[in-house]
Amino acid sequence: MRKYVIALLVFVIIFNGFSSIKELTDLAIVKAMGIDLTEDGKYHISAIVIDTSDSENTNSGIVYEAIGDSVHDAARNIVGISPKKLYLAHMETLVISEEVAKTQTENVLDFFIRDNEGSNAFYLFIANGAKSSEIIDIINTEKIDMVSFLQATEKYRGIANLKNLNEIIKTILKDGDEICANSISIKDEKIVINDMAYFRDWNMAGYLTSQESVLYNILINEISNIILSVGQGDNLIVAEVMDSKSKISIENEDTINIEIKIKANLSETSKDIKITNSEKLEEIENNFEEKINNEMLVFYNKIKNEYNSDILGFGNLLYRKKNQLYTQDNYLQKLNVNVNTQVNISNQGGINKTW
Amino acid sequence: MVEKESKEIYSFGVSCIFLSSFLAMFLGLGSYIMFNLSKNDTYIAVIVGSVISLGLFYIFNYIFKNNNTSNLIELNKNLFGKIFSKILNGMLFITFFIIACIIVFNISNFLNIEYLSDSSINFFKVLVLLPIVYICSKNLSVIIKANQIFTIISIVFILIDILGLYPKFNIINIEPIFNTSVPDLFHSILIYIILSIVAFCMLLVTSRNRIKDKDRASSIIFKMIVFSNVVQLVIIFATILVLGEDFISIFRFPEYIALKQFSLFNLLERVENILALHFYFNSFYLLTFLFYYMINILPGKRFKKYYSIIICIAIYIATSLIFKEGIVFYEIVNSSIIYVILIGMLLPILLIFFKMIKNAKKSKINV
Repeated sequence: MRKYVIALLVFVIIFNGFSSIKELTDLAIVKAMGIDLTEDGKYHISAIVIDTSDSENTNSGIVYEAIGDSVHDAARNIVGISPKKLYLAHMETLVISEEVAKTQTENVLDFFIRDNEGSNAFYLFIANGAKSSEIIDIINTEKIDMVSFLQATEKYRGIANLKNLNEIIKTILKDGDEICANSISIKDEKIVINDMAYFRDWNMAGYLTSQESVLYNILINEISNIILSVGQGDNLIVAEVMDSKSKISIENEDTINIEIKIKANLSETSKDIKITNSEKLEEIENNFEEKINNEMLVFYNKIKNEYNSDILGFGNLLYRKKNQLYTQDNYLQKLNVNVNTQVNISNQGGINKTW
Repeated sequence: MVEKESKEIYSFGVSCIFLSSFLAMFLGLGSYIMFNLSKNDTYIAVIVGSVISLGLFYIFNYIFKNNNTSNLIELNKNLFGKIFSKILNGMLFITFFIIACIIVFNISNFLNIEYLSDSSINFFKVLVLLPIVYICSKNLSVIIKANQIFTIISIVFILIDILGLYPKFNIINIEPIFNTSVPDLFHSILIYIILSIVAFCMLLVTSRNRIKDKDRASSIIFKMIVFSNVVQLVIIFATILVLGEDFISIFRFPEYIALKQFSLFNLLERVENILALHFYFNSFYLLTFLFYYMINILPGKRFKKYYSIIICIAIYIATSLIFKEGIVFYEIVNSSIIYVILIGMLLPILLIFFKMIKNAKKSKINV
């Protein structure tokens, strides 16, 4: 019995139908992909494929472009110009044009959710004022490491976040929650990570400002070492955020409480600022708190009156708490929002300013 | 499958049958149906279902304790005579066959969707079924010991899974609590209880008399049943905490999708394929015990060694004809699995239980 079973197993494995078998040399490993829409509504794909023939290890890639009726069709049409099929498991960056983001986001993302090859742990960018293919070209020619670039922008500027496609899809699918995606543009033939794009019902609706992008990332706890400042001229005070935590909760039926706790280090003061005692430090902390509170309220008013997109997920909070307000139209208009920020400046740079 | 009575079976080995069978009934099957019914309230269904299914232990333990013959099939023959026992065993055979078809398609579908999507699902069926033909040529004690080893490996894997997924847990994913309608929640609880009956039934693959440490058997099995329910609760809870209400219901294998986010101390990542191996092992051993039962039900000792091959071919043909596609499979399973297990498995078990009680009363009166 044993030998028959072993023989059958060997037979199955040797003469099998495992057409999924993939040799490394047969794969076009995609590093980044851009998706545009052509004038006749077809998908134009440009993909950076790792150059496996690059013996000098210069981290170069080859850009392939193709057009198709669907994302998958366009990706397959690349086989016409490259002998290899695109392999998306190691993709780091997906850039979609504004046009795609405004009309085809759901269709495009459906392809990536279904594809079993990838882990969907790549980052999504909206091509702001440029074609995705142009951005892909620059990423390739300049040999830009988009992951490091995004990490640095998220950490030090705060206008982008590190939410990958999985997390973005999770947010889109939530009841009463909308997404914001990172955007990217070209300035003087260089790549620039720009302000975040906000979405409404799967489609992109516009862009936040830089300040709003930072505030948004503070609220969703995606902030690292950004810089905050109060005052101006000779009264300017600059602090670097070391830790930031925000908590959004419902107080009453129609009141949302936002609590933000920021731990920061003083990094720069202008000549009129002298911190001589704890009262002065407390006053500076209060100034920061007041500024953030005001900016948050202005931001929220803009969200509900101008953007009309629940990017902060207040609707989801109401839904989770089974608040009846969620079932009403324009619930954002009916919500009162309180913001309470606590800023703790724990480090003043190790100096005592006596001059 | 000729039994050698000299081989030893221990209580722990028998109790491991429950855990592997129980877990095998849930990946992509029980949990998929339950998540679609009760979404992020599924853990409530698991808690309630666990408590109720523990009550079933009384029935199975009674049969287990008072079963002096070799297994459920022999017990039927002893209790109900030639004709009625054949009807009951026939019902059990059909039920075991249907469950085996479901498990074979489910695990093949899992391998097809998640690993090798370009390949034909039929090749996975062959790969799943062939090792079972081999293991069926071994006696029960060997199967139980092998299952025991893989169950321990499964437990270790599950512990590693939880450890690696812990940083991804988001407690707000359990909200809104009690958002499922009462009928859907009850349906979900019912699915949980019904599927646990399959695992209970697998426990009766051997009699208490064959277990070396039989005095401890009931207590060890009970502890393992409690542990299995806790493990299932942890798996369901972890899946909900990682994926959340909206994500759990869109994937065919939500536990595996949650596992894709595994990251152990940011050092060990993308190892979901290795960790998911225990899904395969559990299904494999449940199939083995189902085959063991089916071979025992079929008459004639001369051809017994060919029965496993015949059943394999029958399952291959049946799954190819009935489950043409994943959607068809879930439609059929969703609509019929409760009735199949209730009529084909619970009904014979209850008949055995009441017959044994009746016989016990009779023998008391005679004394």
